[in-house]
Amino acid sequence: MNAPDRYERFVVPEGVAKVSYERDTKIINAASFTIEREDHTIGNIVRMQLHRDENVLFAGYKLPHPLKYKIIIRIHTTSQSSPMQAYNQAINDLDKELDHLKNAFEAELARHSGSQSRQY
Amino acid sequence: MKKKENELEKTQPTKPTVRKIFGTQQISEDDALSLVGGIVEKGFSDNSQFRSTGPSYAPRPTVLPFPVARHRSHGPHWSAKVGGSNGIDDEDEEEEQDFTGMNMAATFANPVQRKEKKGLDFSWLRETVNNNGGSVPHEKKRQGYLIGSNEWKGGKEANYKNSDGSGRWILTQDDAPLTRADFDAKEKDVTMEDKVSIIPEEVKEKRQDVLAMAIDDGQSNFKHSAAENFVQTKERPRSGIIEDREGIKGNIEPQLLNRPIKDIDVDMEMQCRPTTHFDSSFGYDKLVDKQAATSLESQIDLENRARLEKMSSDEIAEAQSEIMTKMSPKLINALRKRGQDKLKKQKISVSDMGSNGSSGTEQKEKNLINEPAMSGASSSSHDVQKAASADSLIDKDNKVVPNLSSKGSSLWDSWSKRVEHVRDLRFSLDGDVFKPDFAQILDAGTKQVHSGYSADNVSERDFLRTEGDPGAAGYTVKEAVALTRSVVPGQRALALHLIASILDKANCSIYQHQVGCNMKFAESDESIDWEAIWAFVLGPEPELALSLRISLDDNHNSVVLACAKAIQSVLSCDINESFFNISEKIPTYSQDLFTAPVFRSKPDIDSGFLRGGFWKYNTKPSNILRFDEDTIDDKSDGEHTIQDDIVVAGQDIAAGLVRMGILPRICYLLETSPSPPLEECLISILIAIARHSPTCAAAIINCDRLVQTVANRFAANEQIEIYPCKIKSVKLLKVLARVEKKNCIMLIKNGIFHKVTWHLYRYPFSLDQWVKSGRDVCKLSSALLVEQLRFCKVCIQFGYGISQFPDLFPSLSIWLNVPTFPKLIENNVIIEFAAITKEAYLLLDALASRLPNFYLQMHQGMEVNAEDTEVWAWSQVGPIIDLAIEWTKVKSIPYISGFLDWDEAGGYFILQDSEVNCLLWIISSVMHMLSNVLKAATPDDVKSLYNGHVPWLPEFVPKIGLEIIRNGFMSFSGVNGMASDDNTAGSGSFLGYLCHLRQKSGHETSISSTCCLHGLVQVVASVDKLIHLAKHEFQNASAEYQNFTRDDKILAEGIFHSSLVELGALLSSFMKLISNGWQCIQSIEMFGRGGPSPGVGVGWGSPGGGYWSTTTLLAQQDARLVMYLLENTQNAFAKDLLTDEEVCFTMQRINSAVKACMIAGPRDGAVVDKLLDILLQVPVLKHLDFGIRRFLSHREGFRPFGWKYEEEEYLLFANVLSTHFKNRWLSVKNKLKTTGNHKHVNCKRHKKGSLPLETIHEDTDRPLTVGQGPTSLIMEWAHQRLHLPIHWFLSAISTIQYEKNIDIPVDFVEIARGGLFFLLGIEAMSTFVAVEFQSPVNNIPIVWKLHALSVTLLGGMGVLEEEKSRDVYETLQDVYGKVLEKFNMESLYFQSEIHESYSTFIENLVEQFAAVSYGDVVFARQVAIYLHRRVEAPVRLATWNALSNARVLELFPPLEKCIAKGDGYLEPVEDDERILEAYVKSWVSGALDRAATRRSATFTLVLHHLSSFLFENVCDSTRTLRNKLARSLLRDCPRKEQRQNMLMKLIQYKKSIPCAEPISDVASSLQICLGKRFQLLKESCEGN
Repeated sequence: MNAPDRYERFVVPEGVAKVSYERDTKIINAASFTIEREDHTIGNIVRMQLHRDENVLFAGYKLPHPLKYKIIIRIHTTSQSSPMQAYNQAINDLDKELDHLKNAFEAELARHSGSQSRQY
Repeated sequence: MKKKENELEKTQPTKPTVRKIFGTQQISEDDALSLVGGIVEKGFSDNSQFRSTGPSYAPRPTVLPFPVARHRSHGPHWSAKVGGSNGIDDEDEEEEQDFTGMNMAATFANPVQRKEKKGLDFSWLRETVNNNGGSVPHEKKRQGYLIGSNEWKGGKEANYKNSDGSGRWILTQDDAPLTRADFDAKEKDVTMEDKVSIIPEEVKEKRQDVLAMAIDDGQSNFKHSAAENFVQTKERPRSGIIEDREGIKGNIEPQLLNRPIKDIDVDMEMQCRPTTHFDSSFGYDKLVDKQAATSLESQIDLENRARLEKMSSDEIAEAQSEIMTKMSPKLINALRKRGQDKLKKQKISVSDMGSNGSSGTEQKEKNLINEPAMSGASSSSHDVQKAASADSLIDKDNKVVPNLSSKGSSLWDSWSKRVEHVRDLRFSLDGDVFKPDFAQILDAGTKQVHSGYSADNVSERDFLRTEGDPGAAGYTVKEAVALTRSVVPGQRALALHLIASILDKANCSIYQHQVGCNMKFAESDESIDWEAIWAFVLGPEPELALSLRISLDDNHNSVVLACAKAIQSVLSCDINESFFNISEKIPTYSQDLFTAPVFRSKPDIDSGFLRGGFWKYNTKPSNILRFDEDTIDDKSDGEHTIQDDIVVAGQDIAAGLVRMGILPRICYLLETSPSPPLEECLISILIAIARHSPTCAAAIINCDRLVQTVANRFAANEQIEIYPCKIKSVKLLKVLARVEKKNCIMLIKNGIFHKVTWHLYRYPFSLDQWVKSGRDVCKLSSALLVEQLRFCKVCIQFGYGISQFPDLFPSLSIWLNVPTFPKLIENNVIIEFAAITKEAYLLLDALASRLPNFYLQMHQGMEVNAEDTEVWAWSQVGPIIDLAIEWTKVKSIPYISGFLDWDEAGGYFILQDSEVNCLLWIISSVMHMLSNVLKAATPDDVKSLYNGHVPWLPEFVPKIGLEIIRNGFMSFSGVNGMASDDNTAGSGSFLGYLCHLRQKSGHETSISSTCCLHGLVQVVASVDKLIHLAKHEFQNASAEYQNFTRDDKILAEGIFHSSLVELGALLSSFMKLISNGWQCIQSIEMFGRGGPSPGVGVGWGSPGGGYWSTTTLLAQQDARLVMYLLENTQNAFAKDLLTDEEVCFTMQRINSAVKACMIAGPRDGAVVDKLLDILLQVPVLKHLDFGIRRFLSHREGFRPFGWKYEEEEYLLFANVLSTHFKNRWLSVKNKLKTTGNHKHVNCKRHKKGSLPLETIHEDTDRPLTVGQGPTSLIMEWAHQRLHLPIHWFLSAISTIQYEKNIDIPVDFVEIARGGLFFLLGIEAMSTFVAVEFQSPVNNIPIVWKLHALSVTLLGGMGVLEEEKSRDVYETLQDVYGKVLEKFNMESLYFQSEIHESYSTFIENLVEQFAAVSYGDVVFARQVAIYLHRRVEAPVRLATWNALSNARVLELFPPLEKCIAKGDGYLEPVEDDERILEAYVKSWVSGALDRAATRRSATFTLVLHHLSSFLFENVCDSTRTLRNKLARSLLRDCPRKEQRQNMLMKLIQYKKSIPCAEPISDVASSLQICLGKRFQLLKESCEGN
């Protein structure tokens, strides 16, 4: 009834950054990133990627509320790195990995469809 | 079930044969049987079919004998159907026939059975205790039982082993299957609902299984040759008995038969279960002797069927002859003796059986059918599959079972057992239980077969005392209830009398018990479990309400009277009245309580699962009134069945009766001018109903003509003579008036009020006349006048009828004066006189609280109140004060003056308790009246006064003060320089005497003396305050001051101040009293539903009356006094630095305030409010802080904080906490939601009516201030939360979000911080307090404390982010860690103790941990506690899984840094398969990788448990699992170097602690060890 509109789930409102960064005042090398209009899909994958990073001491995300369409990712790193760096790296790595996945998939698909067309 | 019927009937034809078999002793069974069967009750058809086959058969019903309400599940249709379907007598076809019949029947049987079960089931009661959702626990239990049975058997075998010959083995084998069958029975109980549908197929399968199983297991299970018999003949163990007996009867000695069973050391339950069977089989032999016909028949039948089904006719004949010849009397005797031993313990199982089906016989048969099959099944699943030595697993399973059934539910189980036990009790006509002597035991034995009669099939049975044995004395409850529907009026009346006397007895006995001695009821035979009897009688099963309601419609006067008496007992009118009577004497209570039973709403996560939710009515108020709507609405008639009524009555019997329309019937009965006793009964019933709940009271008001009729009957016989029912009528009207202001107005406007109180205004006759009229008349008139005065008081409390006081005063004045005692004593009417006087002063008390403020009035002149209520005028007060002051001259009052000569050594002359008591009541009401007057004379607003002083003092103020001083109320021993012994020489003070009385006397005197004390202290405080306000006069005249007498000086200095020492002593003695009180009160609330029983009993059936006992009342009164004293001696807190003693004392004060909070009942909202104010003020918090610091510096392992709280922080905490606690615990649930289309005007009005109840939370003790009277003088339990649960102060930290509708934004972090501080303070405090003042905080289970700490974190990390609260939090963790180490036996039952879905909570907590914690150490420690070995397995598993999924296993600190010692996490070694699997899974999935590198506690856990499981406890039972785990570990390892390292660690792991041996040794042994381990791994991979 008074649920938010559907588009709220993916349209970032004007004047709001997609990703905002907030440093944690109490702990060194810790920060939280608020990503607007995303949910577990992104949250989980980013977190798991962050977990692979040796320098990341803590990485967690949460969806504050099912009807608030944003996630908050918290990162705590060693002094060798910084949350921002770790976050960027994780994103880049994910990007590459997914690219790779996509290419591999397409290549395979092409091979497969090629072989199929050859068959017929 | 139907199937059983089938079989039962089918076996009939064989009966004669069997009788020949067993009828060794020339019994004329036929005679007996025909005798019994021959009595034909009216309404039973004499079914010729059955008659022809066997006269013993109970007649089948075709018509119901009495217009019993019917539900479609009732009635004989099913039995008729079955009867029709099986006319086949052919034995050969029997088996097949069975199965088909069974299947057919199954479709019919299900719904009927299920419905029925619902009726019998008590489980609705336990909703809050245990909502049994899934079938998983059932499944578990069943397994447990099966295993148990195996074990039992094992034990038995062991026992037999050393005894000699093989003959005994046979017995073992016989027994084992039997026990299994019993476990089946039990299991059926548990899964009854599912079972009903399953059974038929099961049975079928099992039948076939028997063959296979028996052969399979033959070797392993039954090593004796008898087993071959077993297999060959495909016979049941039961028949096996017979055969075996033949073989062994020669060499079995009776003693040997007896011995083994006694030796077997299995737990009680297990021991109980087997007994049923013994007794059925052995009791049977007995029966043959005893010619107990009725039960014999089914016994034989049962035997029959069991045997004959599998035997050929030849075999039968053979067995016949063999048994006939071979059974020696000696053997029979031995067997019988053993049976008796067992019988004593068998009651539980009997009741189980009874509850299962409508007839025990059927149940029994079912057992027999399943028995071999189940034994086969169990042996197949456990013995065969898991090989012979599956000990450890079985052990574990057995352990799991008790764990699963929570403490609460085990409590529940024992309770329901107790209740079920009542089923078998037989009562004599005066309500006594017949002690089962030997003969009775026999009866019990036979009866179990028959006891399952319910209202459905009662008609199948012969009438009167026919549960099994016509010779048995007395009746069971159900028999009695059934008998109320007899066709013979005499029987009905008799039955009703019986029920009434049972209930009366139960009521009295319950009342005599100790409050709070719950559940310690040993199953000893000598004491009778009256609580259980009460619960059973009122419970849903006997359908008592329905029978009573029907009986009330009877057209025989005697039956109606008996019924009214029974209803009166059901509603426990008399005892409730006596409670209310005392409660009304207490001046501080202006409100009564509704008696409707209530239960607490379930705790939810928002309130941190804390107990102590809002009370709710057992029956929804909207369910009580049904008939109003429905008579209009034809449609809904169809929807409501009598079943609904019964359900309502089962929840709350009074509500059920009202719902069944008892009121119109009573009205009718009253109109027909009933006999005086009946009228009295009816009116008491009405009183009880009016006290029940607002809805019921409204129903009375709204019932046409009812109130009018009562009033008319009062006025009808206008004579001066007074009947008891007149008194009751006044009482009824008073109660009705109390319920609602509206009713009161109505009664006044109708003129009913005047009609019933005219006695008060009667000519002012003299006391002499009254005394001369004779003692009996005095008694009656006193009782009447008291009630009338109370009625008046109610009106005055609502603010009406005050203007009539001048008319009333002349007639009252004779009572208000101090009488000439000798005359009263001479005529022995002093008690009656005192009752009136006391009541008159209470009336004045009520009036006094209606006084306008003295100074206000003086300044502003008479102010007309805008309300239609009236105020009392000061002009009338003067003479009354004079009269009252006369009463304070205690020295001149005989009896009381005697108190003053009392001294500690004893030797005060002893009066009759009751007389002292009544005089005390007078004094207490006088005191309260005076204090109210003084309160009215105290200016509201001190600052507005000139100079802060009152211009002048009304002269009565010093007068009262002086009288108090002169009459030795206090000893003033502390007054400086004064000769304290001029006139109080050698004597204690009145205060001291009261204190003594409080400790030494009975309940009522204790209450009255406490009230007296309270009144006295109040008066003294008020006088002091007023004099202090007027003091400047004294100061001006300091010259005169020296000339003052001692009394005046005391007055000037303040009485309170002068007697501080005495008051201190008073306070400490009451603090002691309180510390006994609170545990009592806390222990009352055992079950979710307010008490153990439904209905409206005394304290809802809890022992000693529970909340409705004088004990409770007394405790609450004590709490009140303590509160008042604490409040008035607060300045003790003001001091800053303290010596040890002072610390101790202040701690005690804090402690007792906390305790007093827990005593306060629903009426004491104001008290709790005050107490919270006292507790939560800055000085107290400072003391707590001081205590914490001392605690930290003195205890080992704690370091003091490096910071200090600031003043503002204390202030903040005080504010935040007190608002929180008040909101949380004192708020009243407002039902603002209008209930849909509900047309009940009065219902709605009532809900509104509950709103103004909030007035009780005002600061004044008496909520009645001028102009805003309450609309009701009766409190509801429902919609509020008091009594506080024991862990109430945890609410501050374990609340996430407690009231959705409170708009004020509450900072939960602040509350939590305050709460943590407060908790630590109290914890620290508890270490300083002496043992006898045991702190309540120590009584809270550690689970709750740990849980509360976790809940704080669920809301957010705020608490941990702030440095101070973080330290406090960590300290608390350490404190609890120490506690954990100290009591290292008890387990942490999070799931069963706190909430059944605790795993969900854990998941949320872990999620929170994973998302926002940054791996905070304190948080991690908190989470890690759930991995502690003593946490129950499901919670541990849930925690581990959640952690593993969230990939946060690495965030834990090393094990040493966790709460409590690391050992607790490691030992004993994990044996739960699922958890071990979960460990391996997270290992394999890589979740542990980082944990390994970071040395977090989780990795250590895994290493330890896995390595000990894989390498150390090598036994076959766990081989499969071990292999599986090892394989997956190894398979995973080559992929990653990291894992290889981990695996190496695992292999090399050795618990580091016992490392005392030289290193070389270790190294070498390690080498060997490693070799072994590799070997093991290799093995487990089976060469792969």
